[in-house]
Amino acid sequence: MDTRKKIKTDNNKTKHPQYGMVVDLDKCTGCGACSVACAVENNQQPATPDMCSRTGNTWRMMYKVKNGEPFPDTKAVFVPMFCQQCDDPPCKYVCPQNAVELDPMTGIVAQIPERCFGCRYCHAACPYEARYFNWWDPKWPEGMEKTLNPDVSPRMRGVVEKCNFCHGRWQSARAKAAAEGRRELREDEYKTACQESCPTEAITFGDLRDPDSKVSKLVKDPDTFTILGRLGTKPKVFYRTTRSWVRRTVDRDIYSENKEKVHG
Amino acid sequence: MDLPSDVSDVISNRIEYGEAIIMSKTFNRRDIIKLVGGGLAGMVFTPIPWKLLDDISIWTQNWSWIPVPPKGEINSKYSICTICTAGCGIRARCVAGQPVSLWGIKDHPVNDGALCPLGFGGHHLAYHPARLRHPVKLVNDNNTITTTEADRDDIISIIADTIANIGSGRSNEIVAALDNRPGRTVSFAYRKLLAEIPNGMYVTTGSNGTDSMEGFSEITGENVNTFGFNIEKAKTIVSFGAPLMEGWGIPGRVYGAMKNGIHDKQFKLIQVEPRFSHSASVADQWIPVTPGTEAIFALGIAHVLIKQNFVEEVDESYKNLVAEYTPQRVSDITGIRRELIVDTARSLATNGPALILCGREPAGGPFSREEQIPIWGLNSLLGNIGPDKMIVPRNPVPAGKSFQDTELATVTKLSDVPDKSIRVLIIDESESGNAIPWQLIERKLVPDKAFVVSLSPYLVGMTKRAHYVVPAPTHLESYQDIPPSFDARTATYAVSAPMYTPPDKVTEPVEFLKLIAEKTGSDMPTGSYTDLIRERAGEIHKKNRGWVYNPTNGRITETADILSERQFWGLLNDGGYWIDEPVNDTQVTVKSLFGSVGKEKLKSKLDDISRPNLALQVKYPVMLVPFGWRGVVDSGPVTPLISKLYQESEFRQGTNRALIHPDTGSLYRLRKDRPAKIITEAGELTVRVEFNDSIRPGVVHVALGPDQDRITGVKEVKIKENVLSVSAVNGHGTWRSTPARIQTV
Amino acid sequence: MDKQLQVRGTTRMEFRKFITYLIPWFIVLGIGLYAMYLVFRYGLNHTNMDNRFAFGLWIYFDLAIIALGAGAFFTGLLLYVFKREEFKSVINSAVIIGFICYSGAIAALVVDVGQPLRAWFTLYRPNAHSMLAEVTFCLTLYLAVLAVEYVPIVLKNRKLKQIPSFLVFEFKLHKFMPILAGIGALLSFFHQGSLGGMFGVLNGQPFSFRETVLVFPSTFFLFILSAIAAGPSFIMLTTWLVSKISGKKLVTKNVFMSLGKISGILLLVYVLFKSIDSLYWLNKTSPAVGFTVADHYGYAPFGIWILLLEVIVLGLIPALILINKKFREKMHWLLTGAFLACAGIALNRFVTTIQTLSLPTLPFADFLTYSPTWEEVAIFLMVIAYGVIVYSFSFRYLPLFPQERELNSK
Repeated sequence: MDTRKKIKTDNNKTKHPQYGMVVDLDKCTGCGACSVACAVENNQQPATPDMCSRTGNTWRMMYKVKNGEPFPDTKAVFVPMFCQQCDDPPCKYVCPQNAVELDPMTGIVAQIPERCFGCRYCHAACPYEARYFNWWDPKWPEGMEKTLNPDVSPRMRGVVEKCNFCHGRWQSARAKAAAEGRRELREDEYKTACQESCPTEAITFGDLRDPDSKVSKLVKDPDTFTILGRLGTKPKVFYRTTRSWVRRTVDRDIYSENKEKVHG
Repeated sequence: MDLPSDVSDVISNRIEYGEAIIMSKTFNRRDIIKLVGGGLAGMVFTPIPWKLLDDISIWTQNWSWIPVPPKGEINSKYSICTICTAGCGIRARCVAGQPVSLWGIKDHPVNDGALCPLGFGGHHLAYHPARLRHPVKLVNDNNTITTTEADRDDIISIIADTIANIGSGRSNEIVAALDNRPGRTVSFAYRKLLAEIPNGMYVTTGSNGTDSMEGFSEITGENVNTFGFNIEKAKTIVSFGAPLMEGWGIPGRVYGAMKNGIHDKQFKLIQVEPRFSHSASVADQWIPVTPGTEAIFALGIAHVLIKQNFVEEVDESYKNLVAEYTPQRVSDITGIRRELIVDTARSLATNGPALILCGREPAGGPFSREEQIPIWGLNSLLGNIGPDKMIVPRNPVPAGKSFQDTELATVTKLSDVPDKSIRVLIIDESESGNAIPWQLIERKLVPDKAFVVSLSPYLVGMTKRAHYVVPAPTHLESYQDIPPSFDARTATYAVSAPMYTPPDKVTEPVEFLKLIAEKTGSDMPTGSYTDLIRERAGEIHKKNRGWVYNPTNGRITETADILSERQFWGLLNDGGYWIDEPVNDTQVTVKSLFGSVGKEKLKSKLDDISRPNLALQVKYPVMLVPFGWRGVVDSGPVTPLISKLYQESEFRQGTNRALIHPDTGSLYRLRKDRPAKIITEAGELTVRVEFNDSIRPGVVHVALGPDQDRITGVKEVKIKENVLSVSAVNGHGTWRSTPARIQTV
Repeated sequence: MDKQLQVRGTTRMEFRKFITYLIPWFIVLGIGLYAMYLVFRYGLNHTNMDNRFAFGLWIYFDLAIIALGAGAFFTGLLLYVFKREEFKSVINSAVIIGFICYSGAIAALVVDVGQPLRAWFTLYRPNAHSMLAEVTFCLTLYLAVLAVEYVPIVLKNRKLKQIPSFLVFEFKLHKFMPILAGIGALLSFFHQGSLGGMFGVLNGQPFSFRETVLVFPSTFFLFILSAIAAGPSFIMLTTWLVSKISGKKLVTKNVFMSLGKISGILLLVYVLFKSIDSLYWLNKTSPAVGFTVADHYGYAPFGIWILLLEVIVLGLIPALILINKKFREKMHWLLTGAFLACAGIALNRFVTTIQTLSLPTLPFADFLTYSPTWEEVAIFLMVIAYGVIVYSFSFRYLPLFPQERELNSK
């Protein structure tokens, strides 16, 4: 028996949009704008002097992934890694205090900092290393707290946080639509900060349930894949590439299939 | 109840001895315990514990000292980013007038929605901890800087007195202003003042990107400020070290070319660079030449182009020079496979139009003039120069009326300033985004007597070397005008309208210059800086050329249709961007592919590159090559959130991180993540070793990143050693690679 | 006064000597408390844990001592429910060790979480799916049970015994012991299992994910088995250690042998199931998601040797030693077996926590290492010092070993 198969979400039954994202790895230039735009949008704290790459708070972490060949045959691809908004989120099932919820209205895996007591069990559960713990008290240089985004509350020390597809933006978009008497959002009304910041438009974001949305069309493309898809967490973030070495390096599934010589 | 025997024993004993088993009537210790215990139990039925619990839960929801973002009316304001020379259009999301985020503007003709990571944090800069809010005097005690508040008038008096002294004597000492961003209205004000005072000199560094176009200027004899690149039309770009993905020119333009996918079959990017940089990773082809041999690679390409008859007419003497650089020889010198040289040349010729760019490593500086000549020469061979081609002429942006028909100081390159000659140096700390080693400036100063005033809003970078600082308004605090970026296809002009009010004791550089003029009795325009900018906008409007893009509605209006100067200014105030028509009627001729350098000198210089100096290699077996990202390697502050790309991830290397091939590392017994010492002729530097097998063996790439004081500020301001302090900064202003030795600490 | 507090018929070291012996432990306790202050005041950045290595020394320590502390409930179960009377001679000591282990683990947990003041949320509104919620419930409740079990031992103190109502209370409590032992065992089975389940359910971590057997992942049962196998061995080792330090005979040898036998049998069963589990996991579960043996054991220093060490050297071998009567009769073999068994369980907990987090799951992530900061080590040592101090006082003033008087009378 497999617990993975047993856990079912109610989301299959909802009629609400299920948001997802496709990142085109062939377009990403590794400029890093999305990481900073995300930090600005979501009021992430700046680094303390002794923070490092393992204790930082980068909801959108940039990786430079190499093909494993040494000089001069090295090739690299930039892979932004963030919460993959799994439909069977392992983090949700492990949280003892219900601080992680799968929002049926959006399909977004929400992290509720007010409920979190910082046990970090979800960190162990997440295969994508997408969760960030506040190891330090958040601190902004004096005066800079005036520049914080009013739609997102800053978190305190000792709690976990992560990407939530700019949930604050969803709420604002909903409020705006409601003011116009609409219940549903148009495709361009709700954009994530990373999507908006991307200079090469490598990020496509939208409702996976809507067959006409750009994102759901892209998801059907054979060049689109999920990372670690075989773990069965059903990520709603997809990556895309037409380059075979990129696919081999980034996509664990193909990688292991090759090793097992099952096919291709 | 059956009590065990020992229990009943005790009880009976006690009764026997008359001990108190029966409750005593007096109030004893036990009663107190009972009272307290009972009281505690009773407390549960009062609201007290529940209120306490409630309070604790509320307190643990979010601590009171965690900032609560202020709320207010949300609206958008448009302006132009002034952090570097690119001049990207920005939209600020404001809450009650306070910008809370900045965004690129989609379909903007200049940056097309793109903004770099630094631009996204631009609204933090006004609150940067290194901000200076009043003039200060700096005292350097063993590289630790202490500040005391200074009076602006005293500083002006010192400058005026020195100028008077120079004027009265027969001194050759120079009064100079260093401007990293020529072409702004304030640049004209500097030139005006310096023309007025004795021995005034207006100095630029070319770090805005023009220093990498010197070779172009050499072969065509043209002014680089009137040429741009037609990136959008190129099908192949060969970039000789131009950091296209690390922020080159107007980054949005370059990224725009990638929207169809970098690996789109229509477009090919070939990166010629020793380091496996981000640009090299994104490129279709990375050509990892040995550091310093880029020019030879260019000659190799020229050789193939000529030999395979891809080029029609070439000067015979150039043919002779190029003939020596056969693919095999070039391969031996550059370390690039022969076939790759031939293939690159072929794809240039067949997948045209192809643009050859010669770039500046943000930290490592430009190529020398001699190296640039063969690289830019390729463009000439391919017939790339001229209207509607790859390198296109553009009109200059007119100056304001106050600066027309008046004497202005000529533009002098820093490298052309005599050594030990500058007595007074005013540094305009508007950053170009690229690094300038302090040694380049220091050697021009009169030893011990030079007086350096920085007009920087922050106590970071080069400003720490100054004697006094008169802080200027920072990004988005005052009107600034935006001349075209060096790569712009046509002339452009925009005005960055302020969103913040600067602190009281902050002085606009133009006002500072006016005060000096007043004291020295020089003639200066009287209007405020904003007036002078507006005056210039009026001149542009009068030309009646081009279009204006309005970001508030996305519309493009012909300048001719904007009837009044007032309306034009209004548009610019709302983030409007003036874009000139392309120049179609100028013919550009290539004067000489050897430039002013001449064949013999060029040849001997290239021979120097081709021949490794074995004697030097014994002492300094490795090559030290600095690298970094534009905007981060310069002298200004950066948004604290840039830590997401440096400290909080391994995406970019921070200051003094050394990238070394593991084989080189083991050769010198270095250990990963451990400190190592780099020794060059110029000094020693402790770096942190990072093994990376994409690095050429024998080369050490050391990063120039943001120091802590430039990110979040520090308590004690210090001048710190970095890779530039140990690089060999030669007379031509290049320091791309330095022979070095590396060892464990 | 000190003499009067001691158990009648036993001799203990001089009071001054006793205190001198405890001083170093109090110093360790003090340093630990200071480290604790630093963590509470400034946050968990005083540790070397990080976003991926979210668990460190403390969680490992918790898992290990909770496993070893299992001797308390298991001996209680054997004594009160299965009426194995020979364990009466160690039950008091076992209860105290259990109490120390569990309270120590909880103390370490309180420092380990980011917002300890919110920990009660788990009890108030738990996520029923979460193994950690299960662990929290069982741990808190079982600690309460252990405290109740501890009380009668305290009340047996010579002085306290003189207060008749205490004596009556103690006597009454005694009657509940079988019930408490039963409840304790149930709770313990659950939290030991849930601790294993905590890692077994992680479908995002192919190294620790295991197939489900009867609702729970296999590690749930393996953790219970390993804990009850090692528990008696740990009781044996601690009793032997106390006997060495105090220079007193505390229990008869047959008690040791019984403990060893039970440990040995259970360990053998455990090794059998653990081997089946490992083979199934390496050949079925993990390849199904594209992870091979090399992905789990291909990173130095965690080669396949660690699995062999755990299952064979620290599993099968001690099991064989302990079930063999000939070996059991020799004290040094018995102790060696017990030590290896405990070490095996400690290694298992190490692999479960630390190796899981070291190994990369993302195709482009790196293998990570972690070493604790002084604060982490100090708090870890503080818990041990706390244990030593509590046990020392208990041993001095409470009747832990009923056989002691008899065995030491000349």
